[in-house]
Formats: sequence, structure tokens, C-alpha cells
Amino acid sequence: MTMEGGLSAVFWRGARQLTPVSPDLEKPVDIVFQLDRDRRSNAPVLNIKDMGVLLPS
Amino acid sequence: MKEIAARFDDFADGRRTLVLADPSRPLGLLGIVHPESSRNSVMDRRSFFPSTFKGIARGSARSIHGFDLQQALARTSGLLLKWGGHKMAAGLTLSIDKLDAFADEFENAAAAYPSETFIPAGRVDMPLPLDFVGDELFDTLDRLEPHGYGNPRPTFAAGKVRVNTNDASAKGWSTSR
Repeated sequence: MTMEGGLSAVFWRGARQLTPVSPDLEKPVDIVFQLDRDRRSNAPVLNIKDMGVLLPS
Repeated sequence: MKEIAARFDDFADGRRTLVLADPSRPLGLLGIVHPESSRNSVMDRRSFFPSTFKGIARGSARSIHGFDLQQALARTSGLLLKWGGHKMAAGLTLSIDKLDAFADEFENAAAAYPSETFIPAGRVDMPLPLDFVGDELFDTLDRLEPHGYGNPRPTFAAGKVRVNTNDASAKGWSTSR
């Protein structure tokens, strides 16, 4: 997927789940992520660990 | 799996732990369905999934940070035929007629912990607005390598980020979950 500003991101939950429901992607979401680089283009990629309402407002 | 997930919903209210057994299931099957079930409803609980055979139930569990499985099982040891493990994982064998008593005593052990222990949590090293993602940051992060046990890759958080929902993969993700 693509984040605001054009950053690429991948999100694979695997067996882990921190949020109980899928977030509504029409609204802004909080994300927890690690940084990586695309192996071909070397462009930054967000490796998203979780997304949703995660942070205190 | 849906059937077991539904049973979670029936049993889960007000409890921190779940103990389920089903004589109609072959040994091992409940262990297989555990990961799927945990995604559905019980990530914040410690669960045992005993399989049963000839009056004997065998089960195993993995723990969460802050909940000592070994200590909890030690508390229930008078009800068990055999058990072993450590803070994060354990297995046990017990008579089926002791299952209800075990479930109650295991729940009592969990009740002694603060409620925060059972709130799903993840580790974040620092907040990082996406505007800061660039070559300079990568150069800094490169100095932290190599990553591995004892030196995990940094984890960041960003709040109120918009996902481009015109992206086909994002749309597929949001509608298929």
C-alpha cells in the first residue's frame, strides 16, 4: 500500500494482532512500523506491524 | 475453527483465561486451531487447549509478557497429573474430571495480576512522523546494525497517517479482512 507523501508500505499481520478490528482506511490511522528499503529500487519502505487506533489522542 | 471461535465468545465474558476441551477432537487439533482463534478473540488472554483421550486431557499454552505460566501452574499443581514449562510456555496433563476445577484455579491465578497485564501491548522505541523518513535517517539507523537478539530493529510509531485508498492493494486489504 502507499502512505501519504508517497511512501510505500507493506502490512503483514501474520499471527499477531494488537488491534481487534480492521481500521477504516478512509480515516487517518496510527501506525507502528519499522523502516526498510526496497531491494530493487532502494526506496524507503515502511514495514507496518500494526495500524488502527493505537496511540492516545 | 469458527465453531471454536464461537465457543470463545460464549465463555470469554469476564474471564482472563480460557480452558476448553472437546472429547470429539483428535489429539493435537485444538493446538492447530489456537493461532486462528487467538486472532479472532483472545489475544489478551492466556488459554489452554487440552485435547482429551480416555479420560485424560493434555494441553499446552504460550504466555504473554508479564504473566508467569510456571507460577500459575504451580498454583494448580494439586489438580494436575503432570506438568512442566517455564514463564512463557507450558504443557500439562490432567484428568478430565478435574478440568473445571483447573479452569477456576488457573483463572484465580490470573486474577492476581493487574488488569494492565492483559491489555494487548507492543513495543515502540520512539514516535516518528513520516516527514522524517529519508536518507539521513537511514544513515543513522545503519549505524545501529547489525540487528538481532539483544539489538532489535527500531520500531516507530506515527499518528494520524492517511493511507492512499486508491492503491489497489490497500483497497483489497481493507475489504477482505
